[in-house]
Amino acid sequence: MGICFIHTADWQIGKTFGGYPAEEPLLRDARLTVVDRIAAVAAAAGARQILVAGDVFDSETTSRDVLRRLVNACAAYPDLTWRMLPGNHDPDQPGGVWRQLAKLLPPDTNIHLHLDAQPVEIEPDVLLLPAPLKSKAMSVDPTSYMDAFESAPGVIRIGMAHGSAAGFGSNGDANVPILPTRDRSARLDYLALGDWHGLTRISDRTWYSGTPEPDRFKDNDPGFALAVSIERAGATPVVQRKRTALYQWLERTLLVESVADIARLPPELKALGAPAQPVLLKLTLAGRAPFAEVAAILAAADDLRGLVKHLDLAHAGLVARTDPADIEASFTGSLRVVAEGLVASHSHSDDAETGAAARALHLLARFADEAAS
Amino acid sequence: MMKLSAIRVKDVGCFVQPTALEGLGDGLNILSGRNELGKSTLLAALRAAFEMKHTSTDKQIVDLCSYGTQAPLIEVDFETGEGRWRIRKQFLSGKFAALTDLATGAVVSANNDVQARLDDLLKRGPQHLNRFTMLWVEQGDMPKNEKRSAKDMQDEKQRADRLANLFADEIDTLTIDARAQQVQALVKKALEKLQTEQGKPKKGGAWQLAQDALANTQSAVENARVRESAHGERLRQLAEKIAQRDKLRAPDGIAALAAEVEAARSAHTAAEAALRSVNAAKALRETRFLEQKNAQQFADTFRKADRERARAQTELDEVTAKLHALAEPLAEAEARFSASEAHADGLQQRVRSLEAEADAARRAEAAVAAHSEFARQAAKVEEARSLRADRQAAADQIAALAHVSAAAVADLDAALLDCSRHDARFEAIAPEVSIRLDTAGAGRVTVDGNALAADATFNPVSPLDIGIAGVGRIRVAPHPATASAEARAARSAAHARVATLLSALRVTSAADAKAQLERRQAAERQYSSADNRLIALAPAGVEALTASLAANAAHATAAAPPPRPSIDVDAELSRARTELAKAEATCKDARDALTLRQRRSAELKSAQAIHIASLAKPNDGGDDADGRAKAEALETAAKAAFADADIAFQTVLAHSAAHDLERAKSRLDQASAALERAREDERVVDLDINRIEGALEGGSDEDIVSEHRRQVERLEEARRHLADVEAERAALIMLRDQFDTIAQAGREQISAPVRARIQPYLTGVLPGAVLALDDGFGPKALMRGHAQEELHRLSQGTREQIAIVTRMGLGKLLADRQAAVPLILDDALVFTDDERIEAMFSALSLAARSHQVIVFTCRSRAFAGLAAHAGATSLTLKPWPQSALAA
Repeated sequence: MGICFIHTADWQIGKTFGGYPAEEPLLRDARLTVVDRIAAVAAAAGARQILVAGDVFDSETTSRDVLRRLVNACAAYPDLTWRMLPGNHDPDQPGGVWRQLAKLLPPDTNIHLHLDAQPVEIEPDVLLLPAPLKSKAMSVDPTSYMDAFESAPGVIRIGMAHGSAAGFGSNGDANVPILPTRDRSARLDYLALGDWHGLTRISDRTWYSGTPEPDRFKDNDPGFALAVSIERAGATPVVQRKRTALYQWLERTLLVESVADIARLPPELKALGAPAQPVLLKLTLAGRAPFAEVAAILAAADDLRGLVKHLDLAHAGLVARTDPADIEASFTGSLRVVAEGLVASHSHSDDAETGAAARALHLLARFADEAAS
Repeated sequence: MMKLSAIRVKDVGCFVQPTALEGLGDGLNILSGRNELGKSTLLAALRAAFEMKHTSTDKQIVDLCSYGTQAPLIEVDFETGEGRWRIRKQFLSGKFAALTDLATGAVVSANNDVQARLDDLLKRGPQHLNRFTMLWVEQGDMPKNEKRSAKDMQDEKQRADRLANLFADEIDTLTIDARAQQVQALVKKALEKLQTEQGKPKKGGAWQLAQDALANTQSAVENARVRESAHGERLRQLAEKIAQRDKLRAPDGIAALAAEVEAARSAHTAAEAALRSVNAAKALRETRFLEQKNAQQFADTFRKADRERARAQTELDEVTAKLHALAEPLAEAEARFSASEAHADGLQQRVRSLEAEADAARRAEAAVAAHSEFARQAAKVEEARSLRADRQAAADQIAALAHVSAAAVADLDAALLDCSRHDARFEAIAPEVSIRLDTAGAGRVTVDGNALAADATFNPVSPLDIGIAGVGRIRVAPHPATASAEARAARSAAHARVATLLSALRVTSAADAKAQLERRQAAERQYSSADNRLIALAPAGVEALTASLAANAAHATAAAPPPRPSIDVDAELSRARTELAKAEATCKDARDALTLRQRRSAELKSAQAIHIASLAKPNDGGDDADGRAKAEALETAAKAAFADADIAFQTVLAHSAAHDLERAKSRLDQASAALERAREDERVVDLDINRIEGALEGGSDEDIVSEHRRQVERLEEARRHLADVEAERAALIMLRDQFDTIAQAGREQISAPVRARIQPYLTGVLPGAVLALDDGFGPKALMRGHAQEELHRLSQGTREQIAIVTRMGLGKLLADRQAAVPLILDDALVFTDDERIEAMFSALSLAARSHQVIVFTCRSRAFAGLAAHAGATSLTLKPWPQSALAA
């Protein structure tokens, strides 16, 4: 008798996006609606058990309103059982978020809180061994108890923990160490890990699912849940990645020489589904371009805002080529004299002055356009 | 080209009389004279003639009037490239103006047309921006470090523009072009939006807004950090309190203390029971002892009587034997016996009487003992009755307090704890009302009707009325939304439960309830004590004790003690018996006197009769064999009972040694106190936990940690924005400075022709020095070697020399451009020393080669050297002929 379940983690509901004030409400909402997307994945995979391996919440003070929304969201799928584990962002502590959540759960809730290291039979002959965190950092491996816990032959053993195995973790091995070979020492058929936001395979039986909804530009393969099937005790689990992300956080660095280089981006964004599929783009421009073309390059980059939900544009590395011919092509009369003076300081000063001089040159061009119009 | 030929004045300054300065030549002209000669007046008159309209009433014109006159008249002859001309102007009273062509004598222009015609002649109109009328240096006219007025700056710019136009062909670029000026204006405008002239953030500008936003965000971060810290502190306190509670509830905590209390209570109960057993055994032993003593006394009565009878029988037997043995000798002594018989009878009576008295004395002693025992038993009955009354009183009090039980009081405590928990939650979310009284405010503010004497803070969980005398009333009530209906209902139910329990206990407070409970427990202790003592005093009950007393009462009353004999009966009896023996001896002696034996026999028969009579007398102890046997049996049984009671007492006493009641009571008290303290600690910790949880629950509508994180993220955004604005400002400043640099280079280029003309004069006066010029081509600084000296720091002599050489340079420039004008020095060399003045003379001589130079000076001696220069014209003031004046 096997089992098929969903492995997810690091929902970090309530996470703030203070650096994106315009998009923050949507980004925060996406972390709650991920419940619907995971439920859809479970339905497609035929899974009834959802294992959330820690950091369900971003903080220990997640508001009551958010907790209610989560309870309601999970209750909308009565056929599913949501098994949640405290992680380092939301350790189980007196007065903490889990105690608040427990007060809000109705008697017939389908949310199961695993607040103690107490193995539970979640289905016939399927044992879940949870390793909840009681503090943000631990010096001992919370999964170590699993080694000594015996079970009857033929019982499928599934571990669920939150921490760092083999250097993977939100803070390296510093917060909560987990033995990378725990699956073997504890005879686990599968170890569902959380903390590392990217989907990562540690071994055949040990996986990080990563966060189901990306929350930063770090490109470590986030945005998935894992559909795990175990045919019988001892069998190698079949792990399938299922996309759950609503937002795509895309980071690109372009070596730009002309406006044409920017033109490569729109097709790539459209291939990702933009603008229907929301994309947050961090675009870093670098390289050397003719001064006269820099404004057009920046304008073209700025035009990408029509395709993305958010554009984080950095162009400090884009150097305006200020050869005499460039200046001559861009400025006339006294403005050329001024521009040449700026270029002279551009070439003889340190980086800070270079930055200011380059910016001053751009301002000069902008004001010249304004004066001409 | 323009040069002056003559100046004539009337009613101008000191020149009330018509006065003329004529004969001015092309080169150097010198007018020397004393002070107040009118040299400066002449310069002022020149400026009025060329620059002021004849209709002007400016102060400058009014000041020109001689004292008491109001019609200053000025006439100037001058020469231009187009001919020789005369301008004549009368100001104020009788004002007029006329321009005359001296070649023809014709007036070419008059009155209002004169000024336009004059401008045309001197090429100084709008179409002749490169023309000047004249140059002059007045006394004290030297570079100053004063802030220039707007008009000065405007004049300076106009002059500079004229000069620049004059030598435009000598320079490549006059200034930045028009488009660049537009851009420069945009830069300036953009920068002005960001900062003030002093480089400070401009109010409402992006820079200041970014700084304010950063400061506000920093404040918000700090605020959020403080709140997060407070939340963390609450969590820490909660964990600490829960740990304390867990410790109290651990197996070695309150449960252990409760077990110890139970053990101590059992030990105390056992000790009390042991004490009761000892007292009961002791009382029984005493009872058995008294019973044994009474039985022994009773048996002793029989034994004493038996001894008396045995002795009498022995004596009788002896007498009878002697009588039988001495029948004959007795007969013989009968005669003597007969003689002494009366005496012997008397003695025998005496002995009998004494023996009766001795018996009576013995009965009296027994009666005394019986009476004493009765009194003691009566006292015991009284004490038993008193104890029974005390016990009944205690029982009545227990019955009266039957409704007060430890369980009911515990229920009340629990209900009060529940109330406190609900109140704590409400207080945690209650609004905080702080009242700060001014000095005059004391007593004027009431809270719920109570006058407030000092500052106070409230956390009302129910409506709070605040009255301010003479103002009105404020009602502060917690918003219904601050607590759920369930929470309010739970709190009301808890308070109702307390009221119900208080009513059941018939008290108004928990303290009253505990006092009632203590009274009931004291009554129970009193009951127990009285009961124990009663059992010890009357093991078979008070009624049995009373019945026993009643049974002994008759005997005790009948055996009321007779009066004691006043003599020692036994001693007297002994003496009487001795006398009787002597009498019998006498009888015998008497019978010997008759016949020894007869008398002896008679004596023995008599004695026999006496003994028989004595033996026939009833015994005090009774002669009943059954009574004797019963007495002996009773004595034996009493002894055995006493022995048993004594053994039982010793056994119980030995057993009670293991039960120290005092120690057991001390242990019970200590254990109870420790348990009470622990329960109080638990109650306080429970309240603290409820209070902290209430506060945490009250704040759980907001994610404090995330809010702090958000503010930190916004702080980073605010910092980035401020950095961006400051980078924009830096770029704008760089642009502005770049424009300024270009403008400065332009100025340097523009002023080069002027400096080139000044330098020869400057080198002659100040060898090695170079002059820097300002935007109006005025002197700005003097550079000697690598040092640049601010002009206002130079000596007055040097400054006046610089002022003159600057004008000479301008004069040379104008002359080179065929626009020569006169240079007039009005006492301009006042501070120059003798050595330097010679150099200035050389310079002036040099200048006079290019254009007309007119020197007004009061230093006639010093300027004699200058006058000696070739070509110099010495001028003198002369009267203005009336004929010429009239023309």
